[in-house]
Amino acid sequence: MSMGGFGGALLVVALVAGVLGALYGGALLVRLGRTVTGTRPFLSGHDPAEHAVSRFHVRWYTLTMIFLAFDMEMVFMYPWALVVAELGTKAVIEMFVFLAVLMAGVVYAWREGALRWT
Amino acid sequence: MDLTARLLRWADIRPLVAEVPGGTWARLAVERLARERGWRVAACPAEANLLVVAGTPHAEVEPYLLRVWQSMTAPRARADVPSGPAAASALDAAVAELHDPARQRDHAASAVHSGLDPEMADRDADRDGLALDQLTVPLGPVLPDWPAGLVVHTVLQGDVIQSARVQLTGLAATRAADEPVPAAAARLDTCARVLSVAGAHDAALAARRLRDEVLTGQAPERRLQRWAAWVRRSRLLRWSLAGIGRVDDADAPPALAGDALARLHRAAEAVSHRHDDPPRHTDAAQWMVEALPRLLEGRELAVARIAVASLDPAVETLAHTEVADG
Repeated sequence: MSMGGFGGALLVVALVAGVLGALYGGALLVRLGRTVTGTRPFLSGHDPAEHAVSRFHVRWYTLTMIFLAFDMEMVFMYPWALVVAELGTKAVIEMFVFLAVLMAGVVYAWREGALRWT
Repeated sequence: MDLTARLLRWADIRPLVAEVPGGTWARLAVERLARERGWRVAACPAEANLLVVAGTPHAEVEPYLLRVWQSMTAPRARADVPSGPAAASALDAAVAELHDPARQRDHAASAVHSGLDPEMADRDADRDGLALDQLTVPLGPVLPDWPAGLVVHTVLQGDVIQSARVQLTGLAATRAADEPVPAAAARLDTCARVLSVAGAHDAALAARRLRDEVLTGQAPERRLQRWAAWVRRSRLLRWSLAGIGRVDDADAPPALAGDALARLHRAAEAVSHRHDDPPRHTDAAQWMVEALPRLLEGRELAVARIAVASLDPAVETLAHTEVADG
C-alpha cells in the first residue's frame, strides 16, 4: 500500500500547485502592471533623510527583561500544573516562593525605572 | 479586460485629502461628500487610491504633492478641488478615472522607482546620557488632521522630539477674499481633528457631521448638546488629553490657555452655547507658530500631533515667513 501513500502526497502537491497557479494566474490576468517595489515611507510629502532601519531605544531591552521574568513563570508553571494535585500543599508553597522571587525581580526593575517611558 | 474593470469598480474608494492654504472650504466640501458617499478617508498614501488636493496649490507645495502621488500605487487618481462648489464634479471625474482600466494601466506603467537608499541614521547623545539614532521626521504639509501650510521639521530619538523647526509653505496662494468659516463650524472642525488624532473616531465623525450640518444651518440643537455633553463627560478623553500641549505663558492668547483637554472642553462649551466669536485669530496663529518648537521639544510624537491639532493654528492667515529655531 506504499503507492497509496505516495498517491496521496502527489494529490496534495497537485492541489497546492493548482491553487497557487490559479491565484498567480488570476492575478496576472487582472493586474494593472508590475508589482511596485522600493516605495518610500510616507513622510508628509518629504523624502526620507535617513534609512528607516535604526537601532531601538535601550528602554526596549529593559522592558524585555521584565518579559523574561513572566516567561520563566510560565515555563515552570506548565509542568507544575500537571503534578500539583499529586504533590499537594508542598508544591503550592514552593511555586509561590518561586513566584515571589521572580516578582521581587519585577519590583526591582520597576523601581529602577524600567517601566518609565518618558 | 472586463474582469479588471469590474474589480476596479468593486474596490473601495479611499481618499487622502491634502489641504493647501486657502483650501478650507474645498476640504470641508470634500469631507462632507466623502462621508455622504461612504468613503473612509485614508491616513497615508499606502491605503489611499484617490489623492484629493483641496485648494489651489502654490508651486511650492507641488513637489510635496508629487512625492505623495508617486508613493501611491495603481489604481490611483488625483482630484484637484479648487473650491467647495467644484468638489462634486472633480470627485466624480476622479472616480471615473479610477474605474477606467486603460488609464489605470498607464498609471501602473508610469510608476516611478525611487533612487538610492538614504544613509543610515547618525547618533547623538540622548536624555539618558547614552547615544541613540536621530531620525529626521517632517510633519506636514500633506498630513491628515494637520493645519494646511504648516511644516514642522522634527528630529526624533525613539519617539521623543529632540528639536523642532517650523516652516510655513504655500501661503502665497491664499486669497484674502475668502469668507472665513463660521465660528461654530470652525470650532467643530478643530474638535474633530483633536478627537481624530486622539483616537476617538466615532466622536470625530459625529463632530464632522455636526460641522457640515451647522454650515447648512440645520444642526439639531439636541444633537449638538448631546455631543458636547459626551465630550465633556468622557473619562477616556480626560485621561488621554490631560496635560498635553499645556500653554501657561503670560503672553499667550487667552483662548489657548490650558492643556488640550481644557481647550477641547471650552470649544465644546462654546459650540453648545452657540458662541459666535471667531475662535481663530491671526495674532494667535503668529504666537503659536513662534511657540511651537518650545511646546514640542521633549515631547513624544503622538503628544505633538495632539498638541498641534488642539492649538490648530490658522497658518493661512499669516504672511509668508520662515520662523527661526526655537
